[in-house]
Amino acid sequence: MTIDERVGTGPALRLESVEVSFPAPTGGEVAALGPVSLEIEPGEFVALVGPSGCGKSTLLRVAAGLLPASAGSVVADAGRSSFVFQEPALLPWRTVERNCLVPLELTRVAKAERRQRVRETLELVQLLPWSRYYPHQLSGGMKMRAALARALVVDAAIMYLDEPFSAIDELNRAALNEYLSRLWLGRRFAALFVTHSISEAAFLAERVLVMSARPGRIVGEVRVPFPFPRDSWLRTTEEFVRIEREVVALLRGVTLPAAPAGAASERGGLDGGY
Amino acid sequence: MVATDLEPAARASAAPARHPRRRGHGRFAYRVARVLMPLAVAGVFLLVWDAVALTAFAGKGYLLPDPASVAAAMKENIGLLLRATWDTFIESAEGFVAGGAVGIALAVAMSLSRLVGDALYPVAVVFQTVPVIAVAPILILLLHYGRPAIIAIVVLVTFFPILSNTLGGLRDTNPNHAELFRLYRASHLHVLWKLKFPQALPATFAGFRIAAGLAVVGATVGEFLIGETGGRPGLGVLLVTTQQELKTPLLFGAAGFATALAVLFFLVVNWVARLVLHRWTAA
Repeated sequence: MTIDERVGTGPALRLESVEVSFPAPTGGEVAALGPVSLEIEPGEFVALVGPSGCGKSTLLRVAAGLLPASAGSVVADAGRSSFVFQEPALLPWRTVERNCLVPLELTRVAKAERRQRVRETLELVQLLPWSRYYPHQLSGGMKMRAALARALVVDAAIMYLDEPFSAIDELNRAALNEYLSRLWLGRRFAALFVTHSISEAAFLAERVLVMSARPGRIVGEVRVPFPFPRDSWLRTTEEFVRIEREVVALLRGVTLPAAPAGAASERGGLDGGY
Repeated sequence: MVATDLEPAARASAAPARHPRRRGHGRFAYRVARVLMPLAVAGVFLLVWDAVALTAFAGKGYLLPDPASVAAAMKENIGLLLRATWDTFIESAEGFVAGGAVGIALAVAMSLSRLVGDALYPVAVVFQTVPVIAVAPILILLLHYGRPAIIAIVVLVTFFPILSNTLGGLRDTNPNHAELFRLYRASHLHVLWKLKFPQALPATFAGFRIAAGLAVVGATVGEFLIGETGGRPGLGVLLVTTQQELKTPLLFGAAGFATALAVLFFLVVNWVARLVLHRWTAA
Protein backbone atom coordinates (compact mmCIF):
# COMPACT_ATOMS: atom_id res chain seq x y z
CA MET A 1 0.00 0.00 0.00
CA THR A 2 1.20 3.47 -0.70
CA ILE A 3 0.08 6.74 0.72
CA ASP A 4 1.17 9.49 -1.56
CA GLU A 5 0.74 12.97 -0.20
CA ARG A 6 1.17 15.83 -2.53
CA VAL A 7 0.35 19.43 -2.83
CA GLY A 8 -1.52 20.44 -5.90
CA THR A 9 -4.74 20.43 -7.74
CA GLY A 10 -5.52 16.72 -7.70
CA PRO A 11 -8.51 15.14 -5.99
CA ALA A 12 -8.87 15.51 -2.22
CA LEU A 13 -8.90 11.74 -1.99
CA ARG A 14 -8.37 8.90 -4.42
CA LEU A 15 -8.66 5.23 -3.55
CA GLU A 16 -7.55 2.72 -6.18
CA SER A 17 -8.56 -0.92 -5.79
CA VAL A 18 -8.24 -0.68 -2.03
CA GLU A 19 -8.78 -3.94 -0.19
CA VAL A 20 -8.74 -4.72 3.51
CA SER A 21 -8.66 -8.17 5.00
CA PHE A 22 -8.23 -9.34 8.56
CA PRO A 23 -6.77 -12.59 9.83
CA ALA A 24 -9.62 -14.99 10.56
CA PRO A 25 -9.83 -16.65 13.96
CA THR A 26 -9.79 -20.05 12.23
CA GLY A 27 -6.71 -19.17 10.18
CA GLY A 28 -6.54 -17.60 6.77
CA GLU A 29 -7.92 -14.21 5.89
CA VAL A 30 -11.36 -12.64 5.90
CA ALA A 31 -12.01 -10.01 3.27
CA ALA A 32 -13.58 -6.99 4.96
CA LEU A 33 -13.54 -4.47 2.17
CA GLY A 34 -13.18 -4.02 -1.50
CA PRO A 35 -11.71 -3.76 -3.91
CA VAL A 36 -12.95 -0.16 -3.79
CA SER A 37 -12.00 2.72 -6.04
CA LEU A 38 -13.31 6.22 -5.56
CA GLU A 39 -12.35 9.81 -6.03
CA ILE A 40 -13.44 12.91 -4.14
CA GLU A 41 -12.81 16.35 -5.57
CA PRO A 42 -11.67 19.21 -3.36
CA GLY A 43 -14.72 20.71 -1.66
CA GLU A 44 -17.01 17.88 -2.70
CA PHE A 45 -19.50 16.33 -0.26
CA VAL A 46 -19.88 12.59 -0.76
CA ALA A 47 -22.06 10.30 1.34
CA LEU A 48 -21.55 6.58 1.69
CA VAL A 49 -24.45 4.27 2.55
CA GLY A 50 -24.51 0.51 2.85
CA PRO A 51 -25.74 -2.35 4.98
CA SER A 52 -24.37 -2.88 8.48
CA GLY A 53 -20.96 -4.45 8.61
CA CYS A 54 -20.18 -3.79 4.96
CA GLY A 55 -16.93 -2.03 5.77
CA LYS A 56 -17.99 1.62 5.55
CA SER A 57 -16.13 2.53 8.73
CA THR A 58 -13.14 0.49 7.60
CA LEU A 59 -13.05 2.38 4.31
CA LEU A 60 -13.17 5.68 6.19
CA ARG A 61 -10.29 4.65 8.44
CA VAL A 62 -8.16 3.49 5.53
CA ALA A 63 -8.75 6.78 3.75
CA ALA A 64 -7.80 8.72 6.89
CA GLY A 65 -4.63 6.68 7.32
CA LEU A 66 -5.82 5.16 10.60
CA LEU A 67 -5.84 1.65 9.17
CA PRO A 68 -3.50 0.16 6.58
CA ALA A 69 -4.96 -1.20 3.35
CA SER A 70 -4.04 -4.77 2.48
CA ALA A 71 -3.86 -3.89 -1.20
CA GLY A 72 -4.37 -0.91 -3.49
CA SER A 73 -3.35 2.69 -3.09
CA VAL A 74 -4.59 5.68 -1.14
CA VAL A 75 -3.81 9.11 -2.49
CA ALA A 76 -4.66 11.93 -0.13
CA ASP A 77 -4.26 15.66 -0.48
CA ALA A 78 -1.36 16.97 1.54
CA GLY A 79 -3.72 19.18 3.50
CA ARG A 80 -4.82 17.99 6.90
CA SER A 81 -7.67 15.61 7.35
CA SER A 82 -10.17 15.56 10.19
CA PHE A 83 -12.34 12.82 11.60
CA VAL A 84 -15.70 12.98 13.32
CA PHE A 85 -16.53 9.79 15.17
CA GLN A 86 -19.80 8.07 15.84
CA GLU A 87 -19.54 9.29 19.41
CA PRO A 88 -18.51 12.87 20.18
CA ALA A 89 -15.32 11.37 21.72
CA LEU A 90 -14.55 14.56 23.62
CA LEU A 91 -11.91 14.29 26.33
CA PRO A 92 -13.99 14.45 29.53
CA TRP A 93 -11.27 16.23 31.52
CA ARG A 94 -11.11 19.15 29.12
CA THR A 95 -13.61 21.94 28.64
CA VAL A 96 -15.19 22.47 25.22
CA GLU A 97 -12.57 25.10 24.45
CA ARG A 98 -9.65 22.95 25.54
CA ASN A 99 -11.04 19.98 23.61
CA CYS A 100 -10.89 22.08 20.46
CA LEU A 101 -7.29 22.94 21.30
CA VAL A 102 -6.22 19.28 21.12
CA PRO A 103 -5.62 19.10 17.33
CA LEU A 104 -3.74 22.40 17.44
CA GLU A 105 -1.55 21.26 20.32
CA LEU A 106 -0.78 17.96 18.64
CA THR A 107 0.09 19.54 15.31
CA ARG A 108 2.13 22.20 17.08
CA VAL A 109 0.29 25.25 15.83
CA ALA A 110 1.82 28.39 17.33
CA LYS A 111 0.44 29.12 20.78
CA ALA A 112 -0.62 32.66 19.98
CA GLU A 113 -2.72 31.42 17.08
CA ARG A 114 -4.47 28.60 18.94
CA ARG A 115 -6.89 30.56 21.11
CA GLN A 116 -7.95 32.75 18.24
CA ARG A 117 -8.71 29.82 15.98
CA VAL A 118 -10.64 28.00 18.68
CA ARG A 119 -12.71 31.10 19.38
CA GLU A 120 -13.53 31.54 15.71
CA THR A 121 -14.53 27.92 15.34
CA LEU A 122 -16.65 27.88 18.48
CA GLU A 123 -18.34 31.00 17.23
CA LEU A 124 -19.05 29.24 13.97
CA VAL A 125 -20.76 26.29 15.69
CA GLN A 126 -22.39 28.71 18.13
CA LEU A 127 -20.85 27.16 21.21
CA LEU A 128 -18.87 30.17 22.34
CA PRO A 129 -21.02 30.72 25.45
CA TRP A 130 -20.35 27.11 26.45
CA SER A 131 -16.60 27.14 25.88
CA ARG A 132 -15.85 26.75 29.60
CA TYR A 133 -18.24 23.84 30.10
CA TYR A 134 -17.16 20.24 30.50
CA PRO A 135 -18.61 17.63 28.12
CA HIS A 136 -20.77 15.99 30.81
CA GLN A 137 -22.58 19.30 31.24
CA LEU A 138 -23.72 19.41 27.60
CA SER A 139 -26.58 17.73 25.73
CA GLY A 140 -25.87 15.13 23.05
CA GLY A 141 -26.40 17.59 20.21
CA MET A 142 -24.11 20.18 21.78
CA LYS A 143 -21.40 17.57 22.31
CA MET A 144 -21.62 16.65 18.65
CA ARG A 145 -21.29 20.31 17.67
CA ALA A 146 -18.22 20.54 19.89
CA ALA A 147 -16.83 17.48 18.10
CA LEU A 148 -17.51 19.20 14.76
CA ALA A 149 -15.72 22.29 16.03
CA ARG A 150 -12.73 20.19 17.02
CA ALA A 151 -12.62 18.73 13.50
CA LEU A 152 -13.03 22.17 11.88
CA VAL A 153 -10.34 23.90 13.90
CA VAL A 154 -7.46 22.48 11.84
CA ASP A 155 -8.76 23.80 8.53
CA ALA A 156 -8.82 20.33 7.01
CA ALA A 157 -8.89 19.74 3.27
CA ILE A 158 -10.99 16.66 3.82
CA MET A 159 -13.24 15.63 6.67
CA TYR A 160 -14.25 12.05 7.37
CA LEU A 161 -17.52 11.63 9.26
CA ASP A 162 -18.47 8.22 10.64
CA GLU A 163 -22.23 8.24 11.32
CA PRO A 164 -21.80 11.27 13.56
CA PHE A 165 -25.51 11.83 14.22
CA SER A 166 -26.66 8.24 14.61
CA ALA A 167 -27.17 8.55 18.38
CA ILE A 168 -29.21 11.74 18.07
CA ASP A 169 -33.00 11.85 17.96
CA GLU A 170 -34.76 12.49 14.64
CA LEU A 171 -35.60 16.17 15.20
CA ASN A 172 -32.19 17.25 16.39
CA ARG A 173 -30.66 15.13 13.71
CA ALA A 174 -32.47 16.98 10.94
CA ALA A 175 -31.38 20.25 12.55
CA LEU A 176 -27.77 19.09 12.78
CA ASN A 177 -27.88 17.99 9.12
CA GLU A 178 -28.85 21.51 8.10
CA TYR A 179 -26.20 22.81 10.40
CA LEU A 180 -23.43 20.67 8.94
CA SER A 181 -24.57 21.54 5.43
CA ARG A 182 -24.15 25.23 6.19
CA LEU A 183 -20.77 24.73 7.80
CA TRP A 184 -19.66 22.86 4.72
CA LEU A 185 -20.99 25.56 2.44
CA GLY A 186 -19.02 28.15 4.41
CA ARG A 187 -15.76 26.25 4.58
CA ARG A 188 -15.88 24.07 1.47
CA PHE A 189 -13.85 21.18 2.77
CA ALA A 190 -14.17 17.85 0.97
CA ALA A 191 -16.27 15.44 3.02
CA LEU A 192 -16.81 11.71 3.11
CA PHE A 193 -19.88 11.05 5.23
CA VAL A 194 -20.82 7.52 6.28
CA THR A 195 -24.42 6.96 7.33
CA HIS A 196 -27.21 4.42 7.63
CA SER A 197 -29.82 7.01 6.83
CA ILE A 198 -30.73 7.40 3.17
CA SER A 199 -32.51 10.65 3.91
CA GLU A 200 -29.46 12.09 5.64
CA ALA A 201 -27.18 11.00 2.81
CA ALA A 202 -29.42 12.52 0.13
CA PHE A 203 -29.88 15.72 2.10
CA LEU A 204 -26.20 16.40 2.72
CA ALA A 205 -24.35 15.05 -0.26
CA GLU A 206 -23.74 16.01 -3.84
CA ARG A 207 -23.11 12.36 -4.55
CA VAL A 208 -24.29 9.24 -2.70
CA LEU A 209 -22.21 6.10 -3.05
CA VAL A 210 -23.91 2.78 -2.28
CA MET A 211 -21.92 -0.13 -0.91
CA SER A 212 -22.63 -3.85 -1.03
CA ALA A 213 -22.55 -6.23 1.92
CA ARG A 214 -19.21 -7.46 3.22
CA PRO A 215 -16.71 -7.38 1.68
CA GLY A 216 -18.01 -3.94 0.71
CA ARG A 217 -17.74 -2.71 -2.84
CA ILE A 218 -19.25 0.36 -4.39
CA VAL A 219 -22.22 -0.87 -6.42
CA GLY A 220 -23.63 2.41 -7.57
CA GLU A 221 -23.73 6.15 -7.33
CA VAL A 222 -26.60 8.61 -7.19
CA ARG A 223 -26.02 12.27 -7.97
CA VAL A 224 -28.07 14.70 -5.90
CA PRO A 225 -28.67 17.76 -8.05
CA PHE A 226 -30.32 20.11 -5.51
CA PRO A 227 -28.66 23.49 -5.03
CA PHE A 228 -27.21 24.70 -1.74
CA PRO A 229 -28.03 25.96 0.82
CA ARG A 230 -30.57 23.21 1.39
CA ASP A 231 -33.10 23.30 4.18
CA SER A 232 -35.28 20.66 5.79
CA TRP A 233 -38.25 21.41 3.51
CA LEU A 234 -36.29 19.78 0.74
CA ARG A 235 -36.94 16.41 2.35
CA THR A 236 -40.66 16.75 1.73
CA THR A 237 -40.39 17.34 -2.00
CA GLU A 238 -41.15 14.72 -4.63
CA GLU A 239 -37.77 15.21 -6.24
CA PHE A 240 -36.07 14.38 -2.97
CA VAL A 241 -38.13 11.23 -2.53
CA ARG A 242 -37.20 10.25 -6.07
CA ILE A 243 -33.51 10.48 -5.17
CA GLU A 244 -34.11 8.40 -2.06
CA ARG A 245 -35.85 5.80 -4.22
CA GLU A 246 -32.83 5.57 -6.49
CA VAL A 247 -30.64 4.87 -3.48
CA VAL A 248 -33.12 2.32 -2.14
CA ALA A 249 -33.20 0.59 -5.48
CA LEU A 250 -29.43 0.21 -5.38
CA LEU A 251 -29.51 -0.94 -1.76
CA ARG A 252 -32.22 -3.53 -2.33
CA GLY A 253 -29.92 -5.46 -4.55
CA VAL A 254 -27.34 -5.73 -1.79
CA THR A 255 -29.29 -6.11 1.45
CA LEU A 256 -31.54 -8.98 2.55
CA PRO A 257 -33.40 -10.94 -0.11
CA ALA A 258 -36.93 -9.73 -0.79
CA ALA A 259 -39.46 -10.52 1.93
CA PRO A 260 -42.15 -13.13 1.22
CA ALA A 261 -45.08 -11.65 -0.68
CA GLY A 262 -47.48 -11.66 2.28
CA ALA A 263 -45.11 -9.66 4.46
CA ALA A 264 -44.47 -6.96 1.91
CA SER A 265 -47.12 -4.59 3.19
CA GLU A 266 -45.76 -4.83 6.72
CA ARG A 267 -42.28 -3.80 5.78
CA GLY A 268 -43.40 -0.24 5.95
CA GLY A 269 -40.35 1.93 6.02
CA LEU A 270 -37.28 2.56 4.00
CA ASP A 271 -35.52 4.32 6.76
CA GLY A 272 -37.73 3.85 9.77
CA GLY A 273 -39.86 6.92 9.50
CA TYR A 274 -41.83 6.89 6.28
CA MET B 1 -33.08 27.04 11.55
CA VAL B 2 -30.90 28.83 14.01
CA ALA B 3 -28.52 26.64 15.90
CA THR B 4 -28.98 28.36 19.23
CA ASP B 5 -32.58 27.18 19.16
CA LEU B 6 -31.39 23.67 18.65
CA GLU B 7 -31.81 22.62 22.24
CA PRO B 8 -33.54 25.21 24.33
CA ALA B 9 -33.70 22.74 27.20
CA ALA B 10 -29.95 22.42 27.29
CA ARG B 11 -29.54 26.11 27.93
CA ALA B 12 -31.71 25.90 31.00
CA SER B 13 -30.24 22.68 32.32
CA ALA B 14 -26.59 23.34 31.61
CA ALA B 15 -26.08 26.03 34.23
CA PRO B 16 -27.64 24.21 37.19
CA ALA B 17 -25.49 21.21 36.33
CA ARG B 18 -22.65 23.06 37.99
CA HIS B 19 -24.51 22.95 41.29
CA PRO B 20 -26.16 19.58 41.27
CA ARG B 21 -27.13 19.83 44.96
CA ARG B 22 -30.85 19.83 45.24
CA ARG B 23 -32.52 21.70 48.01
CA GLY B 24 -35.72 20.75 49.77
CA HIS B 25 -37.12 19.72 53.09
CA GLY B 26 -36.88 15.96 52.48
CA ARG B 27 -33.33 16.30 51.32
CA PHE B 28 -32.37 18.23 54.47
CA ALA B 29 -34.02 15.72 56.79
CA TYR B 30 -32.14 12.95 55.02
CA ARG B 31 -28.82 14.71 55.50
CA VAL B 32 -29.47 15.25 59.20
CA ALA B 33 -30.41 11.59 59.55
CA ARG B 34 -27.22 10.58 57.80
CA VAL B 35 -25.20 12.35 60.48
CA LEU B 36 -27.37 11.42 63.45
CA MET B 37 -27.74 7.71 62.79
CA PRO B 38 -24.04 6.78 63.00
CA LEU B 39 -23.73 8.99 66.11
CA ALA B 40 -26.63 7.11 67.69
CA VAL B 41 -24.99 3.78 66.91
CA ALA B 42 -21.72 5.02 68.41
CA GLY B 43 -23.61 6.17 71.53
CA VAL B 44 -25.23 2.77 71.97
CA PHE B 45 -21.84 1.12 71.53
CA LEU B 46 -20.32 3.32 74.26
CA LEU B 47 -23.18 2.56 76.64
CA VAL B 48 -22.83 -1.19 76.13
CA TRP B 49 -19.06 -0.97 76.53
CA ASP B 50 -19.46 1.06 79.73
CA ALA B 51 -21.99 -1.40 81.16
CA VAL B 52 -19.85 -4.45 80.37
CA ALA B 53 -16.67 -2.84 81.73
CA LEU B 54 -18.35 -1.84 84.98
CA THR B 55 -20.08 -5.19 85.60
CA ALA B 56 -18.33 -8.22 84.06
CA PHE B 57 -14.91 -6.55 84.22
CA ALA B 58 -15.40 -4.70 87.51
CA GLY B 59 -12.01 -4.29 89.16
CA LYS B 60 -10.26 -5.62 86.04
CA GLY B 61 -9.65 -2.31 84.30
CA TYR B 62 -6.33 -3.64 83.01
CA LEU B 63 -8.33 -6.05 80.81
CA LEU B 64 -11.26 -3.87 79.74
CA PRO B 65 -11.19 -0.30 81.02
CA ASP B 66 -14.42 1.71 81.00
CA PRO B 67 -14.74 4.64 78.55
CA ALA B 68 -14.26 7.24 81.26
CA SER B 69 -10.87 5.90 82.34
CA VAL B 70 -9.78 5.64 78.68
CA ALA B 71 -10.76 9.28 78.23
CA ALA B 72 -8.88 10.23 81.42
CA ALA B 73 -5.75 8.38 80.23
CA MET B 74 -5.96 10.12 76.88
CA LYS B 75 -6.31 13.51 78.52
CA GLU B 76 -3.40 12.83 80.86
CA ASN B 77 -1.10 11.67 78.04
CA ILE B 78 -2.36 13.94 75.28
CA GLY B 79 1.12 15.31 74.52
CA LEU B 80 2.59 11.84 74.18
CA LEU B 81 -0.31 10.64 72.02
CA LEU B 82 -0.19 13.64 69.70
CA ARG B 83 3.57 13.36 69.24
CA ALA B 84 3.26 9.65 68.54
CA THR B 85 0.41 10.26 66.09
CA TRP B 86 2.43 12.94 64.32
CA ASP B 87 5.44 10.62 63.95
CA THR B 88 3.28 7.82 62.64
CA PHE B 89 1.58 10.25 60.27
CA ILE B 90 4.90 11.45 58.86
CA GLU B 91 6.04 7.87 58.27
CA SER B 92 2.71 7.00 56.66
CA ALA B 93 2.83 10.07 54.44
CA GLU B 94 6.41 9.52 53.35
CA GLY B 95 5.73 5.87 52.62
CA PHE B 96 2.49 6.77 50.84
CA VAL B 97 4.24 9.26 48.57
CA ALA B 98 7.11 6.86 47.86
CA GLY B 99 4.69 3.97 47.31
CA GLY B 100 2.64 6.16 44.98
CA ALA B 101 5.74 7.11 43.00
CA VAL B 102 6.83 3.47 42.72
CA GLY B 103 3.30 2.34 41.79
CA ILE B 104 2.80 5.01 39.13
CA ALA B 105 6.29 4.58 37.66
CA LEU B 106 5.81 0.81 37.39
CA ALA B 107 2.35 1.26 35.92
CA VAL B 108 3.70 3.58 33.21
CA ALA B 109 6.53 1.18 32.38
CA MET B 110 4.12 -1.74 32.27
CA SER B 111 1.59 0.12 30.10
CA LEU B 112 4.23 1.11 27.54
CA SER B 113 5.18 -2.44 26.75
CA ARG B 114 3.05 -5.56 26.97
CA LEU B 115 6.23 -7.56 27.55
CA VAL B 116 7.30 -5.48 30.55
CA GLY B 117 3.73 -5.66 31.84
CA ASP B 118 3.53 -9.41 31.57
CA ALA B 119 6.97 -9.77 33.14
CA LEU B 120 6.41 -7.49 36.12
CA TYR B 121 2.80 -8.10 37.07
CA PRO B 122 3.27 -11.51 38.73
CA VAL B 123 6.29 -10.15 40.61
CA ALA B 124 4.22 -7.19 41.84
CA VAL B 125 1.44 -9.53 42.95
CA VAL B 126 3.92 -11.66 44.89
CA PHE B 127 5.40 -8.60 46.57
CA GLN B 128 1.90 -7.52 47.50
CA THR B 129 0.82 -10.89 48.86
CA VAL B 130 3.86 -11.66 51.02
CA PRO B 131 2.80 -11.00 54.64
CA VAL B 132 4.44 -7.92 56.11
CA ILE B 133 5.43 -9.98 59.15
CA ALA B 134 7.43 -12.25 56.86
CA VAL B 135 9.22 -9.45 55.02
CA ALA B 136 9.91 -7.24 58.00
CA PRO B 137 12.83 -9.27 59.41
CA ILE B 138 14.49 -9.18 55.97
CA LEU B 139 13.91 -5.45 55.64
CA ILE B 140 15.31 -4.90 59.12
CA LEU B 141 18.43 -6.84 58.20
CA LEU B 142 18.84 -4.81 55.03
CA LEU B 143 17.90 -1.40 56.39
CA HIS B 144 18.60 -1.81 60.11
CA TYR B 145 16.22 -0.92 62.89
CA GLY B 146 15.02 2.52 61.92
CA ARG B 147 12.72 4.74 59.97
CA PRO B 148 13.86 3.59 56.51
CA ALA B 149 12.68 0.06 57.32
CA ILE B 150 9.31 1.37 58.54
CA ILE B 151 8.88 3.46 55.39
CA ALA B 152 9.88 0.47 53.24
CA ILE B 153 7.05 -1.49 54.86
CA VAL B 154 4.60 1.31 54.08
CA VAL B 155 5.80 1.35 50.45
CA LEU B 156 5.32 -2.39 50.31
CA VAL B 157 1.69 -2.23 51.39
CA THR B 158 0.72 0.90 49.42
CA PHE B 159 2.34 0.52 45.99
CA PHE B 160 0.21 -2.33 44.69
CA PRO B 161 -3.28 -0.83 44.81
CA ILE B 162 -1.87 2.32 43.18
CA LEU B 163 -0.01 0.28 40.56
CA SER B 164 -2.89 -1.96 39.59
CA ASN B 165 -5.48 0.81 39.48
CA THR B 166 -3.23 3.16 37.51
CA LEU B 167 -2.28 0.39 35.08
CA GLY B 168 -5.94 -0.36 34.46
CA GLY B 169 -6.61 3.33 33.88
CA LEU B 170 -3.66 3.74 31.51
CA ARG B 171 -4.70 0.75 29.42
CA ASP B 172 -8.39 1.57 29.24
CA THR B 173 -8.16 3.98 26.31
CA ASN B 174 -11.29 4.93 24.39
CA PRO B 175 -10.51 3.68 20.83
CA ASN B 176 -11.81 6.93 19.33
CA HIS B 177 -9.52 8.98 21.55
CA ALA B 178 -6.60 6.82 20.42
CA GLU B 179 -7.58 7.37 16.77
CA LEU B 180 -7.91 11.10 17.32
CA PHE B 181 -4.34 11.25 18.60
CA ARG B 182 -3.12 9.03 15.78
CA LEU B 183 -4.88 11.17 13.17
CA TYR B 184 -2.87 14.21 14.24
CA ARG B 185 0.30 12.11 14.51
CA ALA B 186 0.77 12.73 18.21
CA SER B 187 4.16 11.84 19.68
CA HIS B 188 4.40 9.11 22.32
CA LEU B 189 5.04 11.78 24.91
CA HIS B 190 1.89 13.66 23.90
CA VAL B 191 -0.17 10.48 24.02
CA LEU B 192 1.13 9.75 27.52
CA TRP B 193 0.84 13.28 28.84
CA LYS B 194 -2.34 14.53 27.18
CA LEU B 195 -4.29 11.28 26.93
CA LYS B 196 -3.13 8.41 29.14
CA PHE B 197 -2.34 10.29 32.34
CA PRO B 198 -5.55 12.31 32.57
CA GLN B 199 -7.57 9.30 31.49
CA ALA B 200 -6.02 7.19 34.27
CA LEU B 201 -6.44 9.85 36.96
CA PRO B 202 -9.76 8.65 38.43
CA ALA B 203 -8.39 5.10 38.68
CA THR B 204 -5.16 6.35 40.23
CA PHE B 205 -7.13 8.23 42.86
CA ALA B 206 -9.15 5.09 43.56
CA GLY B 207 -5.81 3.42 44.24
CA PHE B 208 -4.75 6.33 46.48
CA ARG B 209 -7.93 5.93 48.52
CA ILE B 210 -7.24 2.27 49.19
CA ALA B 211 -3.57 2.97 49.89
CA ALA B 212 -4.38 5.78 52.36
CA GLY B 213 -5.80 3.47 55.00
CA LEU B 214 -3.12 0.85 54.32
CA ALA B 215 -0.33 3.43 54.78
CA VAL B 216 -1.28 4.06 58.42
CA VAL B 217 -1.66 0.33 59.05
CA GLY B 218 1.76 -0.27 57.47
CA ALA B 219 3.46 2.44 59.52
CA THR B 220 1.88 1.21 62.75
CA VAL B 221 2.83 -2.41 62.04
CA GLY B 222 6.34 -1.28 61.10
CA GLU B 223 6.76 0.55 64.40
CA PHE B 224 5.25 -2.39 66.21
CA LEU B 225 7.91 -4.69 64.77
CA ILE B 226 10.88 -2.36 64.67
CA GLY B 227 10.33 -0.39 67.83
CA GLU B 228 11.38 3.07 68.82
CA THR B 229 13.46 5.00 66.31
CA GLY B 230 15.56 7.97 67.33
CA GLY B 231 13.96 8.19 70.76
CA ARG B 232 10.54 8.95 69.26
CA PRO B 233 7.86 6.36 69.87
CA GLY B 234 5.17 6.24 67.22
CA LEU B 235 1.70 4.82 67.81
CA GLY B 236 2.87 1.28 67.03
CA VAL B 237 5.54 1.52 69.72
CA LEU B 238 3.01 2.95 72.14
CA LEU B 239 0.69 0.02 71.47
CA VAL B 240 3.46 -2.46 72.37
CA THR B 241 4.76 -0.71 75.50
CA THR B 242 1.36 0.09 77.01
CA GLN B 243 0.31 -3.50 76.45
CA GLN B 244 3.47 -4.84 78.10
CA GLU B 245 3.09 -2.46 81.05
CA LEU B 246 -0.64 -3.19 81.31
CA LYS B 247 -1.46 0.51 80.85
CA THR B 248 -4.62 -0.69 79.17
CA PRO B 249 -6.57 2.63 79.19
CA LEU B 250 -3.68 4.28 77.33
CA LEU B 251 -3.46 1.26 75.00
CA PHE B 252 -7.10 1.88 74.10
CA GLY B 253 -6.32 5.56 73.66
CA ALA B 254 -3.43 4.80 71.30
CA ALA B 255 -5.64 2.43 69.30
CA GLY B 256 -8.24 5.19 69.07
CA PHE B 257 -5.66 7.66 67.80
CA ALA B 258 -4.36 5.16 65.23
CA THR B 259 -7.90 4.67 63.94
CA ALA B 260 -8.54 8.41 63.85
CA LEU B 261 -5.29 8.94 61.95
CA ALA B 262 -6.21 6.33 59.32
CA VAL B 263 -9.67 7.83 58.87
CA LEU B 264 -8.24 11.34 58.63
CA PHE B 265 -5.63 10.25 56.10
CA PHE B 266 -8.35 8.65 53.99
CA LEU B 267 -10.55 11.74 54.22
CA VAL B 268 -7.74 14.05 53.12
CA VAL B 269 -6.93 11.86 50.10
CA ASN B 270 -10.62 11.63 49.30
CA TRP B 271 -10.98 15.39 49.52
CA VAL B 272 -8.02 15.97 47.20
CA ALA B 273 -9.49 13.43 44.74
CA ARG B 274 -12.80 15.25 44.70
CA LEU B 275 -11.06 18.59 44.32
CA VAL B 276 -9.18 17.35 41.26
CA LEU B 277 -11.90 15.27 39.64
CA HIS B 278 -15.24 16.82 40.50
CA ARG B 279 -15.32 19.29 37.64
CA TRP B 280 -15.15 16.77 34.87
CA THR B 281 -16.96 13.81 36.35
CA ALA B 282 -20.72 13.95 36.49
CA ALA B 283 -20.94 12.26 39.89
